[in-house]
Amino acid sequence: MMSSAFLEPLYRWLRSVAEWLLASSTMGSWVGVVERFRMVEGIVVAALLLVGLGLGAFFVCVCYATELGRHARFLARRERLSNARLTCGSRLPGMVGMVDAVNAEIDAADAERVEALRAADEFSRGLSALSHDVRTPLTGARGYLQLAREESDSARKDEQLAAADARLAAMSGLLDELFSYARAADPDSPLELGPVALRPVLEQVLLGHYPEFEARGWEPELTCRDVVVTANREALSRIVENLVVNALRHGSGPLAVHVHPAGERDGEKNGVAVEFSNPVADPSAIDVDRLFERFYQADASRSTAGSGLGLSVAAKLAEAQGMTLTAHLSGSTLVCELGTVPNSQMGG
Amino acid sequence: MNVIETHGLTKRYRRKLAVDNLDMTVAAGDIYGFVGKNGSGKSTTMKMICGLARPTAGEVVLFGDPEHGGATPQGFSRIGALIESPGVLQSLTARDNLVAKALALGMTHAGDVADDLLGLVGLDPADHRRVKAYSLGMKQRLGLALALVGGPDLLLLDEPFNGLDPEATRAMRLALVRLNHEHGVTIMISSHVLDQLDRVATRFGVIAEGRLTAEFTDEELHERCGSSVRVRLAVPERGLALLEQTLPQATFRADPDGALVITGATLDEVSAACFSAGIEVRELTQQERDIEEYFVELMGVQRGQAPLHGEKDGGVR
Amino acid sequence: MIALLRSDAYRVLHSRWIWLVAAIVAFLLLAPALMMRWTSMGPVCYDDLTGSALPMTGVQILAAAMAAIVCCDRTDIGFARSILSSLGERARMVWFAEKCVFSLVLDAVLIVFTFVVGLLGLLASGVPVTNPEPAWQVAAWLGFTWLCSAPYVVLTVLVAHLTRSEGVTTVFAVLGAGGLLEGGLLIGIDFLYALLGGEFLTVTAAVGPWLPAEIASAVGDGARTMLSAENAVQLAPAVRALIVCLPLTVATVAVDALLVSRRDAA
Repeated sequence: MMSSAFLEPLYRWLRSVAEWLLASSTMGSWVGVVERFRMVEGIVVAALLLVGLGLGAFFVCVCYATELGRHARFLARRERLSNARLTCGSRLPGMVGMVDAVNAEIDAADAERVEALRAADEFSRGLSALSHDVRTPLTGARGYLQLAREESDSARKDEQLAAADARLAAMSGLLDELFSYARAADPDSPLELGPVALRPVLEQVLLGHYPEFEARGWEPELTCRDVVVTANREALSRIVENLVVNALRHGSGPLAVHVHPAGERDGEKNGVAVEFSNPVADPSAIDVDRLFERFYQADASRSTAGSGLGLSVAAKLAEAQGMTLTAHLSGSTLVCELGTVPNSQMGG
Repeated sequence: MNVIETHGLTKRYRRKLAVDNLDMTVAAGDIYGFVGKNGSGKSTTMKMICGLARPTAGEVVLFGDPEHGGATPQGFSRIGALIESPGVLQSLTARDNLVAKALALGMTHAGDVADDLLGLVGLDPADHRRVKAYSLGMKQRLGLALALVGGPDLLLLDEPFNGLDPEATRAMRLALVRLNHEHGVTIMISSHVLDQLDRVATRFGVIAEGRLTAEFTDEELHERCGSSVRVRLAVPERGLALLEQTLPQATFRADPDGALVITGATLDEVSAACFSAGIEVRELTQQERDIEEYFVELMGVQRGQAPLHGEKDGGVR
Repeated sequence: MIALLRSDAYRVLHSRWIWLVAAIVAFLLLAPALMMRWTSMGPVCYDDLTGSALPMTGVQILAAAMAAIVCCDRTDIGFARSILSSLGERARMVWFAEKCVFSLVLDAVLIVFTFVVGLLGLLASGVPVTNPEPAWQVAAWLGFTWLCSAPYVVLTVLVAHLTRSEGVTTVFAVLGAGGLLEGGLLIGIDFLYALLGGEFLTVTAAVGPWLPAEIASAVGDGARTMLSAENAVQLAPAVRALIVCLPLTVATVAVDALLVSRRDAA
């Protein structure tokens, strides 16, 4: 084998080291081994390998240090609203996990902010819808009062004052709805729940509106066994009231109320479901997903009576009692389903 | 905070002065509409803002940060740009393009980022065709998606609605507005199609021959455009005579369909004048002057100056 | 830098041309080998491994051509514009340097690939090698082949960034890596020198051994010739490579990163 200029002096140096080590007797046997197996080249290769590994380890350490430094500076300097996120140039083990975790935190904070922004947008939209609904009767009432003040004829004056009174009453009804919504949504005053017989509540509400049904020539239907549910009596009757009023105002046919067992889920009986179905004139105008939204009205120009709050109050009250209120369209019939909580005291 | 502030920005290409002493401000959260004719220096200005071209004189201060220019320690500039043609790799699929850029910026889950952005701009992540086969509109959308990689805080879009059909334009416009509103991305759109800009922009800058001729907000634009009152009377001739007497300062114009267009008087004044003169009014509306006209006037070549030399901006187009 | 390298690797691996190149190289190496086995044409035996059995001719040109493909985006500056607009000032210099580094990495991969396939071909051909060099010499030889091709690769990248034209860059890659540009330049200088009254070909004779092309061909002759000092200049080609090619490569990378990056990117 041709020893080149590089290995010759290295070999000689190693030999001298080996001879120096020969001072000890154990070394003598080691040197014999080394000479026999020509391990010098092997030692050289091993040494080069170690140097390589050492350089590699140093390089990796430097990479970690620079990455960590960059991340620290990024987090220190970033603006809160900025969209920039941490990035990981070299996928060193552990770095990727940390970068992901930090970005998840920043994203969560950002999502909260976006959520709050959306809620504020929705609130201001709702507020402008409400102000429209309040302003109309208010303006009307003021107009009538001004007319009545200037009117000399006492009969016409009475009419105008009565008209003003009617508008103020409508406005008062609207504000009542709003307050009951706010109260239902208030987490600080929870509703008291107890066993309530369902059938009397339904009958009472329907009877209360019987004159209006009769005026339209509709015969409401009620199918209900004797069931007891866990609810708050006033809230439950409020929900039923709002659903019936909604059917009266916007439906085009008689209301049918069916009570049937809601089936089982997770092995437990689900209580009963109360279905309110009534035909509607224009099923395509109703967006069932938004039916229970505050201020939603199927008529986009908001020209009908009503504030759009009735169903959302009902939904909020249902939620506060642990019930569910959903709606779906089957053909041209709108079906609102109230899922009640079974009364555990009665054992199902 | 001003996201972009330029002071005396100038760019000279051999003998032609493409951008001349531009002083522009874009505040955080703005959607800035940059209006100008072809060859007026819009693209050059945007290239200088995102650093693709070096200004001959003047400076650009980004994110209120003169030393770093808003660049993060990891090296990226918080800017996403779609300037002139969308810069894509023709021989790869759309998803590969996005993944390549995401990897270059060091993002950890490049595949997910690519899929999200493709969904945002309305392209199909499962499409295996190469970009070479895409239409101009799809390439434009891919260009926008590329600009959005890395979560930029400033978007520079040079004629982004170029080649898009109305539905796609609307979708892109809505996406941009949502980005601006929810994520606070400042957007600078340059265009010579005014009605698209009018609907989204909050501020406008008009550039003509490399100089910024006007910079104003959306409200100021509508104020400056002025308005006129259009009224249709039961008896037009007698009504016109009476109104001319009552409103001497206003100018009147008779439209062919029998209505009168009155400038120089407010709606209230016209309505009060009609009532006091006992004229029966059939129709009364407020009309605005054509915004397009106003802009064209601002963008136009001023007299006494040499006309623009063709379309080339420094030989790169 | 590493993120950019990873991005370019992804780009290259997902494009079709790289696999085409690999297939062509494999074919060019394996087909003659198989033919030798089946038809028993060709040499009876090889003298040594690096000099005759493993062909590395043309690797330089191919590496430079690959660098040209990677750095030219086909539409003035295309995709690079998308990335550069999102990179800050300092990261841009890194981007330009990274293109050079990536091309060098591609070059190394190509050399290793050619070597491995060449070995397979050698085994397949069944032609024995009488005097194979020791492993470290083969490794050194591979390293110096890489070092000799490095200036061409990096110069191609520089030309790509300066001219932004695929045609010009590819022509430069092929001519430059083939040594034609240097040869032509020297002949031109010689001609002028001869016109001015000197001897023709003196300049070529003097400067010749120091040209990268000459060094590359000397290295290509085999590991033993590469390491031996028995030649005109009394200096082993390996040492000449270290003196000429290494600084040239480093200088080109520096010029690209520091000067060319200051140019307008669009």
